[in-house]
Amino acid sequence: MNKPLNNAEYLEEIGALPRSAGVTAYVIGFIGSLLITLGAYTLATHHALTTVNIILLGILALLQFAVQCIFFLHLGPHTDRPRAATFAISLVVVLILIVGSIVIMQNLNGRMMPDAAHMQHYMEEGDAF
Amino acid sequence: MIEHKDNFFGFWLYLMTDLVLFASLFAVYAVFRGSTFGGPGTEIFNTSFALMETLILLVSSFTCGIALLLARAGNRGGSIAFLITTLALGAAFVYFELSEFASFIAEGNGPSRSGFLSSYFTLVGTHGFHVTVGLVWMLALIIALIRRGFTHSTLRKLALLTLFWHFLDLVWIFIFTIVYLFGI
Repeated sequence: MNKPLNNAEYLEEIGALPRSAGVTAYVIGFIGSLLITLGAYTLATHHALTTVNIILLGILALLQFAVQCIFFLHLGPHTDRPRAATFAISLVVVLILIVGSIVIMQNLNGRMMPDAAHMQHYMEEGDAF
Repeated sequence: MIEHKDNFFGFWLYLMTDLVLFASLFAVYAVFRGSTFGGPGTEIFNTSFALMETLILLVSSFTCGIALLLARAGNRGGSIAFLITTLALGAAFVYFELSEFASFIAEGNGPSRSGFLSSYFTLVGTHGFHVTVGLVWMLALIIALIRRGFTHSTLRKLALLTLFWHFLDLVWIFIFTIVYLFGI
């Protein structure tokens, strides 16, 4: 009969909390997230929402996602294979879902019948749709 | 052989499917964002209010992580104290979210007003529902920790709850950015 595991050994064994993760990781994750959140908020409220700024805000969100994955969820090179693989596949599914939906719906919108005012214009000008 | 070793991976799989669920709701929101049907658009959002909600959830994610660290060190009182702090912050978050919903509905901008508002209430409401379920779970776990202390069972549940809570904070980052910051 093996000796029962203590708290730290058990948490590491089930893959919940690697021994290397300490309070430093959480403090870095917290301060990093705080700075990114405040930076994104300042950018959005003090500057016009141009395409460049929208992309910047998207990058900041992804950066915070990465920071929290590393320092709060402790994902990294030591993460076991099943978890890493399902995480990667889920991200691919998420990407296909979101980008696919937006592209398809915008394309459909573009092919919709124009409203009455535009119809009138088209009929008078004789433009092809 | 560690008992219930697979539970952790099972719960992880659940979180991954939840991620896909939220992605669908984000996609719906992105598509319906302009479908205001003559009603109000994203200008009804109060960005500084959303920032406050974001900070509350971020701090609660941090305190939840500390609770797990203290559990690892065997500090039961400290772990419970940080869990109660997390519980209070989470409850404040749900309260603020509900008051935001209530003010929209009082102005006649409920989920039935337009496609945009339907998708907004569904996306943010689903997140809020997850947080509420997490709060009930947390309360049950606090009671279990007070009564039974650290066993492998309560430790595992604490680790799963912490994972769930961090995950909800991750989803909120994108709600904050896509719904509130892009809505200015």
